[in-house]
Amino acid sequence: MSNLLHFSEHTLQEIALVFMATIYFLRVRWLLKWTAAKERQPATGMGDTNPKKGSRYSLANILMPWVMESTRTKPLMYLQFVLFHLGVVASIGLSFIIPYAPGLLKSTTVQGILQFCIGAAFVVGIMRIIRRVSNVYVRAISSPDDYFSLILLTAWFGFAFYSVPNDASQGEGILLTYFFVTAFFLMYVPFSKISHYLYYPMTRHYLGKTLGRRGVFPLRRSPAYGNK
Amino acid sequence: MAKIEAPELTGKIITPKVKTGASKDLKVFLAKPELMTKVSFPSEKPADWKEKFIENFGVILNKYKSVRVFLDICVRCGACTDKCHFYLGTGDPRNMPVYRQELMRTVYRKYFTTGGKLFGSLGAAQEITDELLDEWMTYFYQCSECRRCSVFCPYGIDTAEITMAARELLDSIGMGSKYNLEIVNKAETLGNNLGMPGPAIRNTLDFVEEDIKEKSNVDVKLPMDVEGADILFVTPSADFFASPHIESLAGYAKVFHQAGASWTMSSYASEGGNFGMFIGNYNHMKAINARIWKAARELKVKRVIVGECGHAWRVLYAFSNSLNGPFDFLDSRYRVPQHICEYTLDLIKRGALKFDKTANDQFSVTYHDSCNVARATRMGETPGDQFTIPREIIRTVCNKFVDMDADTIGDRTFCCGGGGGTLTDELIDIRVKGAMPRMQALKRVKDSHNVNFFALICAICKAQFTKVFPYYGIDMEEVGGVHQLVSNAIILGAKEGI
Repeated sequence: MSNLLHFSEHTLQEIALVFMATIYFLRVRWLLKWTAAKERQPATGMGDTNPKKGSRYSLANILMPWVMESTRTKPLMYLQFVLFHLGVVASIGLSFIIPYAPGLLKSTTVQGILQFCIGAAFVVGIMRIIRRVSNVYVRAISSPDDYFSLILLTAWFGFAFYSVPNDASQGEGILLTYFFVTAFFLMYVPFSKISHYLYYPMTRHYLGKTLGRRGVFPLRRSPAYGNK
Repeated sequence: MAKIEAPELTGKIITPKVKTGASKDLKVFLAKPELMTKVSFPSEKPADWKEKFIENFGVILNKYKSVRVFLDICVRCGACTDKCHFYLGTGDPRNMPVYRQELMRTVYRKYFTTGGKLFGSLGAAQEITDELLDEWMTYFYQCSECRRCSVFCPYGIDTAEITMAARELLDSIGMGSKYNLEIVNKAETLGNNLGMPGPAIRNTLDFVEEDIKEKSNVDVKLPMDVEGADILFVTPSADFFASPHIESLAGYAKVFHQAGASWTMSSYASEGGNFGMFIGNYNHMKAINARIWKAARELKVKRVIVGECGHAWRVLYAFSNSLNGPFDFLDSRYRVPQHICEYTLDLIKRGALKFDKTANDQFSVTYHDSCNVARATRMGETPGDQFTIPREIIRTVCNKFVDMDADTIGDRTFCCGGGGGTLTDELIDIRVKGAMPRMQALKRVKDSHNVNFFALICAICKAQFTKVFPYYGIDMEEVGGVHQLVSNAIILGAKEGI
């Protein structure tokens, strides 16, 4: 292993991680400084709903595509969402496995799982780029960050896919690129739309808590309206 | 009738092609300086408006954390792009909810995010300019705050809240909507949106009493300012004014009469609606809402019931406690407040009201769920009762009822096209176009079931549809209230089983 590859796998990643962690720490501290508004609306609704249940439901509904309009009506979009985010998890995991637990990659099963997740995410990334460029509606609403983040992630998946075997015998180019892109990615994330996942749990918790208190969650779809 | 080309009625809701700037010239009139001053906003745009704007933006972001989160969390996935009736009607991409939000988001990035400060336009950040402000004034008044897009947003971003924040910001630098602020001013000074003084309201009530007497030979009273009554009934002032609103007023009165209820209206709180919500201003919303609770205290009532008005119900149901609560002076056995539909259906279920359904046999009825009732509040005991209760009432008083397509009713209902402070003549063009999705759904049931009565529980929807129906070649008389149908069918005098 060259010094440069060692640097990119360790020092560079550590710097990038510390940078990202610092920014996130500041953000989370800022987020936690917010105190929830006093809820003066009296608790309403049926007895089997409360703020805790509302919060749990709201947090879990990401796993229940049938309860959200956006996913119930477009199941393929939900599948894309799942594959894409599994790919993110696998690619990030890989950046830790290679330097700290390379032995895991001797297993062809582990390699297969990682490559499946990352490869599928790459395909979804390509589909999303095509959609963002070709769909007139999505193009109309897209910002430079939307394109850049998506292209960055998709390219990153591509390099991650080929880095899974952790084999530098044919040259270190792919691994080097993967780790440099990972470092850039870690530093760019806090300033881009990709940081949406940081807010997601908080918004779901507060929304669910509030609506649980008001007796809205869990939402049951009443069959009583519509034509009889 | 203004010359406006209404979309063709085909029964199909087709997502239009993007037509950039298609509705850029449809603007609300700016409020004059005197009016701005009356409602405690700067009379005009100050010389240092940019500094003030950024400062006020910061205040809003700190005050309404949700707005900040909504601005941060959007990933522009596109789920909302074809959900807004104004986009479907005009094709202007600025009416895609996410792209309308971007008007605010770009400015937010510029002044309040590190990425925006560092990368500027590369980070999709934009300085606030006169031109951008003009776009804000245009497109944030082309949002009816109906929240249909929020139903489809995977993050639940509440576009209405962003619109409200934008309007509040515009007001704070002297750029207000004449229509909305005039109404706010009237509601705060005269007690109702139409600016009707107490004697004029009494005159209307007398007219309704006489009309009922003439038609049914029964003395149904519409009391006002009766101290010690059990119920304070609050309804939109449109109900005191014209068809098809006034017919529902007769319906409410007949229900109360038949129930033997002790009820009253208030000349001081003669408005259920609250345009403070439309302009996103907490203080105005609180002041208008406070009149109702002050009247309830002074008249020493035990409960408050709200008439057919979507946003009135939202403010009273969802915000009253936070604005002016608690209401421990009221009888705790009753929900505070109660919707007239809850009240009527309860009486029906207890057998206290009798109907002659054939009185409505000339009508084939469909029902339009109003946004604020459908997506911002609820009724009854179980989630979804806000959809079932009005329908149960209609089915009780009519023989012929049919629902429109499932993806256009319930929590996916389309806005009438005139809600959220857009019900003003200068916006009639976009109101007609914004009504298109609802009109297409209506066309389908008209074709299949000969629907000729469009039942509503919202004053704004009633006013909007009576205005836009003729543009689509439909008789405005087909618009009516749920309690208009109740009024037609109720049998007065046969009291049983209360």
